[in-house]
Amino acid sequence: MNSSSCFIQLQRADFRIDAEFTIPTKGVLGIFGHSGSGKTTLLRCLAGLEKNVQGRIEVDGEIWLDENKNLSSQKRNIGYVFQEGRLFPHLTVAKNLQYGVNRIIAGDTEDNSVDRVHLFELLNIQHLLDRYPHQLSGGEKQRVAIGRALLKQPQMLLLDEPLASLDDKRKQEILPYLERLHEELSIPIIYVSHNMDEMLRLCDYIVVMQQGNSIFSGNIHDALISPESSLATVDNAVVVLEGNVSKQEKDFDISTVHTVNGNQFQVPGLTAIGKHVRLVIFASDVSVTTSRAVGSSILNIIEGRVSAVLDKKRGRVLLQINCKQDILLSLISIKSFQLLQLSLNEKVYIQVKAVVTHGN
Amino acid sequence: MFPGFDALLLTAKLAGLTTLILLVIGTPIAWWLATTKTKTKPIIEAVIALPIVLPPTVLGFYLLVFLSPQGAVGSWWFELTGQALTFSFSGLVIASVIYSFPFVVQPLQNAFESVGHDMMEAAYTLGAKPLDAFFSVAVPLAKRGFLTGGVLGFAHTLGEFGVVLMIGGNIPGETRVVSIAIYDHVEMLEYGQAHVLSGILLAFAFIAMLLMYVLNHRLKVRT
Repeated sequence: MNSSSCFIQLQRADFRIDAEFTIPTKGVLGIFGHSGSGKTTLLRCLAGLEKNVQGRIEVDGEIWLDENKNLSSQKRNIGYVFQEGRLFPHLTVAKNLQYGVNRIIAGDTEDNSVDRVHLFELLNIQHLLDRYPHQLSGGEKQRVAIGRALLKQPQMLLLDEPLASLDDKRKQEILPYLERLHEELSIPIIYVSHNMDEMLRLCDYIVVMQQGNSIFSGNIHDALISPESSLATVDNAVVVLEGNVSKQEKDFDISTVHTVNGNQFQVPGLTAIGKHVRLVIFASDVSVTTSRAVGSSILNIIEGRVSAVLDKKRGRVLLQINCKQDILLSLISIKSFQLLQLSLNEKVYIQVKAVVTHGN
Repeated sequence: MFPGFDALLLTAKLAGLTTLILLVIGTPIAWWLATTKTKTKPIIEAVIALPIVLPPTVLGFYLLVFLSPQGAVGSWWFELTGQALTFSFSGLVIASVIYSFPFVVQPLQNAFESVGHDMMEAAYTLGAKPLDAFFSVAVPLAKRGFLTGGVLGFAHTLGEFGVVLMIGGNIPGETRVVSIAIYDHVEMLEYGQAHVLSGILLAFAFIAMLLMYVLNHRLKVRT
């Protein structure tokens, strides 16, 4: 599939959507924003569920929307998972799953028919086939809804806050399934959420929505370190790094992860060697020293240079540190910043107190 | 056959045909009412509900005016078929359709409203065209509305009296429905025959209602 572009405008009496972004050929694109920022409406525009949408949507060479054309939802080859699942209550799980399959238009999908057994196993829904939706838990409903959307062999999978209606326990139950989908699907997933943790775990790319406008669109690494995305602020700064596990120390229950740029991080827990993992590092867990600390309990001490001062607020300052092209963020007090006499391009050592890993 | 059998048969025929017609024309109207955003909706709903509150004689009077061979509709029908609509079975069917209209359309509209737009959207995203989604999702989810509408339409037509009297009169085998027959028997002090027919209607009405409530419970789609 070729990459696809979206330029979407929608004018409502009290609201306006104006967004532009590229849909990757593969991987997860997150649409992130606070409640009321227009992210769900944007997804509905993309799915053809909204009327009077203007702009241009081109998917894999096919025009879905332009001045002359606005394909209806049933003609856009999408899989859509609604926030509440929306399984048909009068049909069994098996018949719900079959609903979209029965309506595939011959020639509309690539002929690599979905491996049902594998998909059912991936989503763990095989044992639910004879049940009715009211007999399922919230998490099971969402898994069936995802299966139903994927069985029709869509060109892209659209997920509208699929975890929002679930409690924390159920969320943790579903997230691994989403991570496996991320790993295995050859189509792009567009994932709407207001939850930063979900974004950090799942997304490769991100569109940041604010009051109906897309203020940033790009890969998640860039988004987290650029002021334009409004994500790199004192309040919630965090970065994501990708790497592979290079070493395990069973005695200490700790593993070493090598990033693409050659930095090493020791992370708690044993992870299989060679496995690709994602490291999530919060700026508040990163401190700065001007010389390499000795006698520190902190294992991850890395050399880098201050590459930007991103934000200052309430006595704290957010620094961007370039460590062999891995960009990290550090949140320190303005007082320390003055005392250490830090300036741009200065060599520093960062001490990373905690690293969260997600295997995907 | 016992006396009054013709009247019973005629009544059943009238109610059955009326219900069938109402389900066919009432369904799209109910769907439209359930989904439209037009500002004229309350006016249309009020017009449809009129037969519930209007005295049957008033409705009958206007129908008589419209359906008579001199009336707007009746004259057109007369030219087409050479027959009058008033004092005929066809005229009774038209009158019953109007008289029982809200009893079929309102339950259907309520049922369609509770199906909601959400499920239809889910069907669209799965590749269903609107008509396909209507029959595969909206109709099965609204089946209780069809049951209630059908039973109420049928039962309400059975009980029709004033309208029939105004436009149909009392022609045996053509317009003499059970309610008219009972009235006749009472007028002639034939209480025995009035008892038989009334008893049958009472039993039927009870069974119809019982069936409706039992099925209504069984057909409930759990969500």
